[in-house]
Amino acid sequence: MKNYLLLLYDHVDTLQEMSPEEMQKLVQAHMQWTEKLAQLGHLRGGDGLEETGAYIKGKNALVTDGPFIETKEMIGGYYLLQAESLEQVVELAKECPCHLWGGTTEVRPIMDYAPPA
Amino acid sequence: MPHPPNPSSAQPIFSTEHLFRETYGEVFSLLYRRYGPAHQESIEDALQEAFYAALKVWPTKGLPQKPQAWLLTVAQHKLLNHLKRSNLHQAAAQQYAQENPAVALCEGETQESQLQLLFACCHPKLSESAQIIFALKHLGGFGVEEIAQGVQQSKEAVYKSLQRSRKFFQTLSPDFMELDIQASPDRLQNVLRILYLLFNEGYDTTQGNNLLNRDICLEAVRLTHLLQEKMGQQRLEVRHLLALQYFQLSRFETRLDDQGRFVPLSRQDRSQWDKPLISRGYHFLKEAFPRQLNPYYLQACIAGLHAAAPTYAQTDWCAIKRLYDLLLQQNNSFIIALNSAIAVAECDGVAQGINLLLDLKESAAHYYLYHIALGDLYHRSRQPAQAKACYQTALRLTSSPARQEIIQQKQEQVPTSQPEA
Repeated sequence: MKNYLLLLYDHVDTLQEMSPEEMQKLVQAHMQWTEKLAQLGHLRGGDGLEETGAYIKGKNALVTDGPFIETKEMIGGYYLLQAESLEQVVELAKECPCHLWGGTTEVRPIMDYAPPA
Repeated sequence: MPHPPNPSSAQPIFSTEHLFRETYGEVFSLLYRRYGPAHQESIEDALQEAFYAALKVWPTKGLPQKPQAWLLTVAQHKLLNHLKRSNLHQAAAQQYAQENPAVALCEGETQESQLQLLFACCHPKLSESAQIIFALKHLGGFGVEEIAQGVQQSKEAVYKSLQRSRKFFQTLSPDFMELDIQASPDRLQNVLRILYLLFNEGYDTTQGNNLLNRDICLEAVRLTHLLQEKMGQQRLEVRHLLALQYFQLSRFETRLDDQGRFVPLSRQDRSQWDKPLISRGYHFLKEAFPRQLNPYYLQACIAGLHAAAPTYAQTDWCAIKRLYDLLLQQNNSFIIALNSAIAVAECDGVAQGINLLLDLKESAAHYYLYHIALGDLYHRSRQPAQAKACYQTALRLTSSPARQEIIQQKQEQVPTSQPEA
């Protein structure tokens, strides 16, 4: 099994327009999806991220404060998954309910190089 | 493993079907009352952010033990952050935080806040439509698009109405939410009327989304219940309105066919009427016999007589006719007169019904249902030419395709022409 980081980008404008009923359906679908990941043994961890924070950029470590809610797409959370292959994680990510509402997911294999024997 | 065990994913995750919608109404009224209408936009943003937080936290951390309390705490936290960020309200936020260090969701307070908001928003200076839209949004937790569908207005119109109401409430003295509702009989009449109209908004059959319509009816019932618990003992008309709503609700499913077309009372499958709901209707009616007749009582009695009748023909039409007479004494509206004429036709004969309807011509001629009712009676008394002419007029008076289809069906049932000798 290999490890993967799954990043969730939320389409903030769409989420702000959603009614409570629609939000509930989304939360519900999302909980069912993570439940499935857990049952299949893929889920190793994950968290939601606050909209606040800071960018620290460049040589001078220039700090820009959040919140980032003004940006169109924002990382809302991450999952740490384990799977046989990138293809497998892609298939799981396609089912992430955030896609129903215009969100984006990004899968990144976590580097794992065995030391030379 | 961060995820908690869940017995079965086929089971609904939330104990309450409309948890978020209900929470919206509760938390909005609570925060609106605590922080005042000046901060309405921040309150709305804070609620939306709380739902977003749930989306990010609950899937990985599991459903909190008390989801509603969780949402309130997060919304309040977000609101205080909003207020702190805007220098304008910093003082207010700090003062509030000092005065109220610990805030929890307490059921009594959310119910009281919702009632206070209901009375506040049924303000005579707002149009009835604006009151209904405000109540749907901020007490019912419906979204703008859902409301637009429910009240058959454009999204833009709903937005504008909400904006006008928000600004209007901001011009009032901040204690407008603290109206003594026991001592405001005039405002109570407004509230009852809005709850009555809100229910009708959902009960109206001429538009598509039946699930949404049912939710609107249930929201009206929920708010009427809140009112009933508070003052149903002193103000019997609250119980009467509730009885009326339950009788109507018992027929909700049968008033449409499989294709979503309107089914009139005479052709509804009475075995499908919801008996437990009818019993609730009787419950609120029987225990509350009024000294003074009010329109909700009379309408509930009429609805109750329909609910008790085994068939359309066996309905006690003469009793219904007398109830309509009493209603007419209170409110001489042509719609009541129209219904009264139908009851007369069933009790005293079609000819009497036609005569009454002809007397109404001046006040009701613009109303498509008037011509349908008259057409139906002409049809029954074998006057096909008159019946056709009435249906033709009704067709011209409505632009709704659903209504036109009903009228066309009626037209087709009238024999085309007298056989020529």
